[in-house]
Order: sequence, then structure tokens, then C-alpha cells
Amino acid sequence: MRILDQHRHNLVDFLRSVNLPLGLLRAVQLLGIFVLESSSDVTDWIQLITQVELATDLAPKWRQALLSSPLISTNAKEFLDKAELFLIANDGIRLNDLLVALRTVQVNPDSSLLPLTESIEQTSDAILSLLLTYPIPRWNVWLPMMAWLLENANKFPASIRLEMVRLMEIWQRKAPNGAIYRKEIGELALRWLKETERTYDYDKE
Amino acid sequence: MTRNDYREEYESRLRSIVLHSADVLPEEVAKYLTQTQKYGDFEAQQQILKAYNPLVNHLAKDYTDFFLNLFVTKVEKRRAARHEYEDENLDADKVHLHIDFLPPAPFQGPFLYTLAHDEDEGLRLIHTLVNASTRYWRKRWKQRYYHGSFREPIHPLPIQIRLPSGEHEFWGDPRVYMWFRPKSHGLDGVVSALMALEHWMDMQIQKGRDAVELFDKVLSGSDCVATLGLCLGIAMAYVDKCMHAALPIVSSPAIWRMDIPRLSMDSTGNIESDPFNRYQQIYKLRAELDQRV
Repeated sequence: MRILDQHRHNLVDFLRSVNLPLGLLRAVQLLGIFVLESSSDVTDWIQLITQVELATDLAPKWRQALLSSPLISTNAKEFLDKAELFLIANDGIRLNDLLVALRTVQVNPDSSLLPLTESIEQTSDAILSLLLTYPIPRWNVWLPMMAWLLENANKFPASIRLEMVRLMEIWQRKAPNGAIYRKEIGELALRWLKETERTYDYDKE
Repeated sequence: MTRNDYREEYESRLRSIVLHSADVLPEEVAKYLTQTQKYGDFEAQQQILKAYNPLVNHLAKDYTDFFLNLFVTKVEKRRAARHEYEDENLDADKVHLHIDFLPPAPFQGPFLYTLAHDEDEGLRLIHTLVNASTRYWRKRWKQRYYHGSFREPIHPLPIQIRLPSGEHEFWGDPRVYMWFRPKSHGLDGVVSALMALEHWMDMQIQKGRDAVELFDKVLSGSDCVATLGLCLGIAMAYVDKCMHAALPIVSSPAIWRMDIPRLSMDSTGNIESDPFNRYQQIYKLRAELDQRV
């Protein structure tokens, strides 16, 4: 990571020079955290992401690694607050990608479904796909993100609502009864549902 | 993703979140069920019917009311308001549109889960549905116009069974008696409900529950001879444990007469249509049930 930090200002060129090995993804993500934690604002982190975004030949994984770096920091909520304007710019495209990374990467397969797969003749890929149908969130990563999302839900552009709702559904299905944020998520979903359901007349009674 | 797909997914996921919030927002979710039952669209009602797990866990009564108001009360009211000789399959079609009960099995629909989680609500759910179906059967016999022609109305008579809790009337003929079997001509939803009841009673007896009390509780809420049939099936599977409980049933010669066709039907084997092996477990269970006397 120290070598990456030395090439922070021309990170893309350096990655190209070493043939973009996917083994460096984690190191790039750690560089993102390091940059966030070693400065008082998120300008350097934004510059890093902008560099990667401009390099259209790079696989989206590199951008995702940097974009999702605040999630694995212990100060996640603080960094998300600072990066809010950057994330919701351009109709929230970066925030949407961050939520997709949370939903697809920061989860574990639901191994409680394993006994069900024993009686079915399936390939290991098919079984993994089944176990990931409703994955279990990595709670330590999801907790600060969910706190931040719920706190700022009304500020976000409508374009990220579906992705946010996908996350909320996973939380509500997998978090134990009475767990933190269940009530807030339920209330928010009910409010949004009232707005969208066409035939639902709440005021009739 | 088209705009319509987006909207469908968005609404469906929001609804799923609301239904899974019954533990923290019981009053709000109960109100949502009532409103959707009255004014909701088809997709919303269908999704609620299928999402019985989180609802039954926390709002068993509200879920049961939702189910029954959707299928039983509405159909009866509509029938009374329209022609007396309405097509007998009208309610079946409506139930099928909302929940797929094919092939009928104990674990199709919310019946077994509700029974296991809240016995009283589960029995209310099943009895109300089965009793409504039995009432339609009685009405049909009394109709002058039936299957395209006029006939003399027939007035069925009940079978009276002396239960520990008192005398009770049961209605039906040998065809109704077989409604707890998937090969019968009962509505798939009704057959699944009765199969769930049989499966649940089987588990209760295995757990050591008093058979006399159990039979009395189950039978006193039912007006349908099929419930007598399934209780008799349980009694024959656990003769030692259920002998006393079965006495009121086996003392009735009408039951002997109706159980003979049931035994004959059970021995004819199953017609299975399962080209993709999706229902292996269901057909295995059916074959096991048919092995009973």
C-alpha cells in the first residue's frame, strides 16, 4: 500500500504499468481509507476516484474498490457525511454504485439454507446462488451505512430509491425482531409505499 | 429495466419491507392489511397472501381476517346479491388467482404455518373456509337450476355426532367426505386446508396430546363431513391413542357408508403430472397418506 501511496497522483498509470493485477484491489481500497483518514477533508479521496473514473479502459472493480473504502473504515459515517455532495452529484450515480457494492460485496451467503440444498442435485455455483438469494449483511459494515442512509433519505435523488429499497428489504428480512433501525425502515417504507400505490386510499377510514 | 418493471419491483419491495415490519409496527401493518383487503390492487393482495410467515408470527388474527374477508365474505355477499345459481367455481377461480394451491398439499398456502404458530387462528382460518365451501354445496342442492337444466331441489340432511362438548351437525355426501384427499373433487384451497389440518393433528398426536380433547376441539368448529373423515384417518393411524376419541365418529353408520368409497379411492393410486420433478416431496407424502387404511 505504501508503494501505491507513492504513486497516488498517477495511480492509474502505475496500475497499468503492473498490468492491473486484481490482487491489488484490496490494497487500492486500503489506500482509499488511508487517504480519507490522513486528511481533514475528502478532497484527496475524490481526486483518486476521479482519476480512476477518467480512465475508461479500467475495469469498474477499481473504481468500486475506492468508492467503497469509507464503508470498511471505523469512521464510516463521518466520511460519508463529508462525501455526501460528491456521492449524490450527477443524479446520485456514485451513491447508487456504492449501494450496489454494499449489497453485492459486503454480504455473506445464508448458510441456514444449506440443509435444503442437500436433497437437491445442484452444482456448487447453483447452491451458492441460492444461498445468496437473500444474503446476510456484514453487520459491522451495514450499520453505519444504514444509519447514514436513514438520516439523509429525504435529501437523496429519487434515482437511488430502488437500490436503497433493496438494501432496506435485506435488512428487514435478516435483522432479528426488534433490532436497531427496523422501526425506522418500516416507517420509511410505509411512507414511500403510500406515495406510490395507486389504489391505496389511506384516508377512507 | 422498463419504467413498468421499475415500478413493480419498487412497490413490491416496499410492500415486502412493510410486511416484514409487523414486529415493530404492528398497528400500522394491521391497518395496511385492512386497507389493502378493501381497496388494494390484485398484486398487493396476492403478495400479502403469500407473505404469511412474518405476518402470522406477529399478526395472526389480522392475517386470518385478511384471508377470510378476501375470499369468503366477499364471495358470499356477491353471490347473494347476484344470481342464486352462480357458477360453483367462481370462488375457486378467485382463490386460485391469488394463491397457487396446485398440487394440493398440507404445506400449500398459509394453513399449516398458521396452525403451527397460532392454533386458534389456524383452526378459524381452515374451518371458515371449509364451512363456507360446505354451505355452497348445500345451496347447490337446493337450487332449482343446476348445470344447465331445471330439477327438483334436494334438501340434504346433516349427520349428527355426539361430541364431548355436545351434539354437532355435519353436512356433506361421500364426495364431500373425501375433500381431505387430493384426488377428491374439492376446491384445491379447501383440500390443502384439510390436508394441513390432518398433518397438524398427526403431529399433535405424535407429541402426545390428548386425542379426545384434540378431536373435540377440531370437530366442534367444523360443519363439514370431511373433517370427520380426516379425524377417522388419524384415529386409524393411531388406534391405541385415539380409540376413545374416535368412538363418536365410528358409532355413526353414515360414516361407514362414506368411508368405503374413500378407502376404494385411496387404493387406486395417484395420477402424477410432474415432468420437471418439482413436486417430488408432495407426491411422496400423498403416497404415504394413501397407505393408511
